[in-house]
Amino acid sequence: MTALLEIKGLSKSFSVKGKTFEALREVNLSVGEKEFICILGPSGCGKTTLLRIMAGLERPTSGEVTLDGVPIEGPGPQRGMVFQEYSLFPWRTILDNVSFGLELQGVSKAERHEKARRYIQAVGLAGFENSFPHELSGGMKQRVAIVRALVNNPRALFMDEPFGALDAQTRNVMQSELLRIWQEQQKTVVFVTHSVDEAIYLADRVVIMSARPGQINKIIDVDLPRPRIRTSAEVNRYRERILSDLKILRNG
Amino acid sequence: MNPFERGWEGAREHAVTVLSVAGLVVVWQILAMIIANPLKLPAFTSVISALFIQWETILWVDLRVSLIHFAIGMTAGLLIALPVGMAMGWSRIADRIFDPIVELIRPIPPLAWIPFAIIWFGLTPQAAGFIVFVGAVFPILINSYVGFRSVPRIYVESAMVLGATRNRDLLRYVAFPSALPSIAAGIRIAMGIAWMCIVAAEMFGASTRSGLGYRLWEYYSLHMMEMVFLYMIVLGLLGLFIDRTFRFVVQERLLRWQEGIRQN
Repeated sequence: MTALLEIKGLSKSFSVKGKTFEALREVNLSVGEKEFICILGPSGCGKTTLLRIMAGLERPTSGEVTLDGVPIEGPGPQRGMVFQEYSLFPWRTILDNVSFGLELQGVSKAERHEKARRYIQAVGLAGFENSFPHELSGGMKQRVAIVRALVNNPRALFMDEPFGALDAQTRNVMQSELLRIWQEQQKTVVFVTHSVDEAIYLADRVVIMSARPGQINKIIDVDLPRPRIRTSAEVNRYRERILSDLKILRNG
Repeated sequence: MNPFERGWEGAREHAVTVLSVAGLVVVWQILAMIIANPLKLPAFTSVISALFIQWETILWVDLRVSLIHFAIGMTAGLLIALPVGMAMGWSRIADRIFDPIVELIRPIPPLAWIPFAIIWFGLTPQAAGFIVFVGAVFPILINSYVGFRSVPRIYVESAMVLGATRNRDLLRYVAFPSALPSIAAGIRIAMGIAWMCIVAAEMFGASTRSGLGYRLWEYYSLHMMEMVFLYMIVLGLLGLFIDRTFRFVVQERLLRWQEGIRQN
């Protein structure tokens, strides 16, 4: 597998009220083309910060992230992002939300609406094109957020606990849907979560991070065929292993 | 509820409104007859006959002139307040530069500017328009400032990762639509203040010798109180009309996306 994303010697510190706080220390990771990576860790381990640096929304204190060997200097449509909070523009219809990226690229209205329609249809939201975000449920909003990022045809998709605000049932449905999209679109996905189950269900590799300072503790290959059965013995073995890793981290 | 029932409900609601206004008119008329002093309280009937005498002047002279003052003041107010409010809300440096100026000028009541308005512009519609401008500019400016200042970060960042990396794009696609409800509220407040300023500026004669406010004062000098009352009613109805029209246009068209959000 060729590496698409390279994280090299990445550190990040924040200054809060004169005190320096080390969010990330010496993080190294390489993410392959079409790979699905889950970053797992307790809150405060810097996983969101790491993702935001990869998206270009924050600058590292030292080290760098490269995409296809090119250092990331700022945000751009090459790297899509789905946030935990609902991030759809409330003043735009679903259709105009999804076609936003294309509008910025100067794609004609007919063309961008046509393309956006196809994506909206693909996630089962046909008929909602002219609705406004507040008329949609949480799961529907996140589906729109995902296709809004995908319409730009990014090299990588970053997801920051995108299903964190959803109920358990919807969350399971969304996970399967995401896997389907990922298999169809052949995208690299970096997915931040604090749910062990979610990570095992989704990822090719689970990156376990520890807090204070945030650093990568362990990388576990989830060598199971998809679709994975959430309650199978193999999945349970992985769960056992990851949970014990996390426990060791917690107890120092 | 079927359409017929809804129609019936609507008709009943309208009937209540009509009856309530009619009741006010009846009470007014009876009171005027009891007081029997047209100087203190002109009767409804005499105000109506005043309307028959005066309507052409109102429509073609006074209303026209007052609306010109309104248009000059509101247009100038928007042209200044929107860019400055936007700059102050979006950029910290612009905020630092403009904030002390705004805070020093804002507390001066618009009517205190009347002498300078007359000196600078003479007895022209621009002078009254300037007073209206002073009244209208600050509510629009402050609300635009608040609107642009409080654009949720999540929308800005979403736009950035979708490719809106230039400041110009962020302003146009994110900040402006996000600030629009606040700007619209500011414009509405400004129009109410503008309407008051028009009457005062015209009463002080800060324009050509016409306008609803000017005429109202003229008839007061002549002690023709039914005319004064007539002009008061015209001012009230027109203010109501302008506010309702604005609310309809803005809320039904521009801010349709807010429906339901406001209820939640």
